[in-house]
Amino acid sequence: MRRGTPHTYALTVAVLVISGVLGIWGFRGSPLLDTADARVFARPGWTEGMETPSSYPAYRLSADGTAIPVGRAVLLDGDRVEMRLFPDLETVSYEDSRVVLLETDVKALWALVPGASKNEIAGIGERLVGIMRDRFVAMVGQPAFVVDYREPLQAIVEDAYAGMWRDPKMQLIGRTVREMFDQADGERLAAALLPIALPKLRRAVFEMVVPSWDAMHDLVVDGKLDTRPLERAAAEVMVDPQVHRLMMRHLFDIAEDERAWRVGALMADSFLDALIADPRLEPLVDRMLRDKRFARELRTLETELSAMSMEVFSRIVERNNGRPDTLAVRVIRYILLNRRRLVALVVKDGSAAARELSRYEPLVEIRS
Amino acid sequence: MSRSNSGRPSAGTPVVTVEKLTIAQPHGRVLLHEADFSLAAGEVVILAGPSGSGKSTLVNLLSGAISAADEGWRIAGHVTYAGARVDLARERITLGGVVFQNFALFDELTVRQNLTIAADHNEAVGDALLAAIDGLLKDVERDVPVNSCSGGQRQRVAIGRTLLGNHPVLFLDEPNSGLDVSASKRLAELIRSLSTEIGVPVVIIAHHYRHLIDVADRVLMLDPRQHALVELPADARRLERELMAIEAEPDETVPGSDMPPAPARATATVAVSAGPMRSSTVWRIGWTLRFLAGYLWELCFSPSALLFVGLGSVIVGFVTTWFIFQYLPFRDLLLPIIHSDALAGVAFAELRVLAPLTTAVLISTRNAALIGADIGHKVYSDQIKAMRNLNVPHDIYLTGAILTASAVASVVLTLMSECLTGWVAMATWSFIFPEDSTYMWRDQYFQRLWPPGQLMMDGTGWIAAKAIPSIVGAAGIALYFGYRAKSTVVDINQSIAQALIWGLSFVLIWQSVLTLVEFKFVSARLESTF
Repeated sequence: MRRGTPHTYALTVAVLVISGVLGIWGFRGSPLLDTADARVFARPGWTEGMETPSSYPAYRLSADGTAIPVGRAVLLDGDRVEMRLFPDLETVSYEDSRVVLLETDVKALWALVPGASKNEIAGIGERLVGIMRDRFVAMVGQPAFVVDYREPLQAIVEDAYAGMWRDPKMQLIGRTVREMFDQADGERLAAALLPIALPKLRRAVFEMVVPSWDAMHDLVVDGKLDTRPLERAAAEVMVDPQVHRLMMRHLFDIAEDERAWRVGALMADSFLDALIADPRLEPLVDRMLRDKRFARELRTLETELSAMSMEVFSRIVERNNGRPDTLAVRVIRYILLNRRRLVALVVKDGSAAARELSRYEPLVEIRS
Repeated sequence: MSRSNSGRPSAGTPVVTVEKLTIAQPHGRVLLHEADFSLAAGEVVILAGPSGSGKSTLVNLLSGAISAADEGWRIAGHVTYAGARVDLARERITLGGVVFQNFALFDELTVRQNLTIAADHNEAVGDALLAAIDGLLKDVERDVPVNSCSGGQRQRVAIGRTLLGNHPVLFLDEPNSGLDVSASKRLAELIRSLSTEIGVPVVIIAHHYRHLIDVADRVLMLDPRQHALVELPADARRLERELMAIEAEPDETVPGSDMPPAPARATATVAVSAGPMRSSTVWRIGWTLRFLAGYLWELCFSPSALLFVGLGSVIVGFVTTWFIFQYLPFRDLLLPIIHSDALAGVAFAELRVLAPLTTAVLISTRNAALIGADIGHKVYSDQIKAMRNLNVPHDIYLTGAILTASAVASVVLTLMSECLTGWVAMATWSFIFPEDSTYMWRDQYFQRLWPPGQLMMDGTGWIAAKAIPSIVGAAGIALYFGYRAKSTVVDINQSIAQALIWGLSFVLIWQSVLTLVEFKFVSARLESTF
């Protein structure tokens, strides 16, 4: 048991003090910076039921859409949300920004995709539709399809469609879809589509109603009306690139409406339920996929779909720097884990991010 | 019993009587069989006998170093002093103060403290004895470390300290060992005059009795042939003849029926009541704090302890962070995806596993070596025996202080390690990502370990449960090996090695088991936070 000298005592005190200061610095931050820069906001009603206190990361979006961590949002009791910004970030302030709270769902994931990437995804969508159409046309145009598959497949789909609409839930869905169409500026879409479609349809109707011997014979003897001109016109409208662009835009507008996801899911569920319940479907599809006469089209379609899905995923996750975005990955992870989590965004007024996130209500600060 | 003016018995008056004393060693060898003897006030007695005959054992028994309660010893007989009669089969006595051959001075204390600690733990001695002790130490500087004194001075300090123990008898174990002829003669005269002055019987164990026998009143010789204590006149030639005769004859054994019975379990409780032969160990808060302060310094706050922990923390904080973030496979691709979770994982590994583990391993290793050496040396140099003889409670001043200091060290040094590891991790991360906010690091590093609004870091209890018992346990293991009997310096080295091996093994096992239990408890909860 030795004793120290004044020098060793002084050294010990110095080491302990330095360790303590470094510990405070490491654990709590620089003593020279104000770490208590916190603002309190009213907690949105939709967060009710979430655990308190619970904290979530806060980000700001840079010009290219990359998320940069800037602080933390804490859900507190008493309907409050406390935001704490990192004090050593001078580029972020509450004064010229608003705080938005997002739930980590598909809607938030889409909202976080920069506008340029959304345009690229729209372009990919157009290409995808075109490719699917071409493959589909190539397949259905083959005599093999007409002879072996067309009628049974048509019967299955028609029955499933009819079954879907017999579902009582579809009454509600129909009403919601109409509202969404109205809110998504459906009239404007119709006004844009009509100039393209009308000349084609008008010509088809004219062709259809102009009497010809054959037509009169079919109508009178067999009770049939030749609708082929109308079908051709509809096909022409569908393949028109302008129509595609307009439909895609409109589709994305609808996609940003939360109800669209619910309605889409319900409709898809009902339709698929009816489709799958049909015992004729599985053997028919199985036979068709194994049919060597369609092998080339199916292989091409599969390759294209795979490449495009990767491309769409990259556009959603990657940002301009070519790296995955931290926030997008976080959102996808919680979607996959099916966990309800939040993220806060500090959005600078007038920025591109502010425009993309304009549908989200900013938090309202509570001033004491 | 006639008494002098100083209150002590007059010279020549028998003060201590020992009756039918039988001592059998743990392995069964009988040293004494129903021996009777007495000691008179102011007389000087030479206790002689061949090596291994039991001289030291007799002194140890009468000075409280051994008793019937100690494992294996079988002891019978009675001692009478000042009207009190003590059954040696049932009680430990501290009849005699011992001046050990190597003096057994407390080498971390000064001369004054060596004297004071004896005075503080025993009944106060009279003024005459104090004056005698002052005279004995008149040329000795009191406030210097006792190790800085010469051999002769150290011997006189040891005698003075033993006298302050205020025992009825003074035992001197080989007092002239290593002294030249003139020094040996001076010592003999000193003992004679001291004995006369203080009026207590002085018993000298001596192989080299030439100059001491001149001042002795009589000789008690341990005869291993008879297992008896034979009284002889103070004649060197006579003693020499007797010893030569003993060495010429083989040892005899006592018939088994004459062996003293093995003590019953009740005898393990030795007497602690007051009285000159039944000392009760008392502890003093001042000495407790002094020893505690010494061990706190040595085991916790000394710069080398802090250096150990500091370096360990730097290595943990730097290596973990650096290799995770610099050598991550597919770094550019994966970093944005896993950065936040990686930091949270690094925090868990660093602060809840590696920092406590590194601290425990480093400090336990260092302290086990120190404790093993310190206690081993105290045992080897008879300081523990001296403490017992002087009623100084070593279980409080040494064992208690060491365990308490170890507990404090485990808290202080683990906290220091946590602080340094955290800061080094932050500094390393800042070096790798110079453009990012350190507050972002803090936010993500502590996101699961220390949520906002929480007073303590998550798992503080686990850290304490890992660090405190492992460091204190390793200290306890070092104490165990340190307190084991030592007859050579090699024994001290072996006890240090064993303390290191077993102490470190204990730390690793404790930490591993507790970490596994901790993971089992927290993994489900942690998983839900991802």
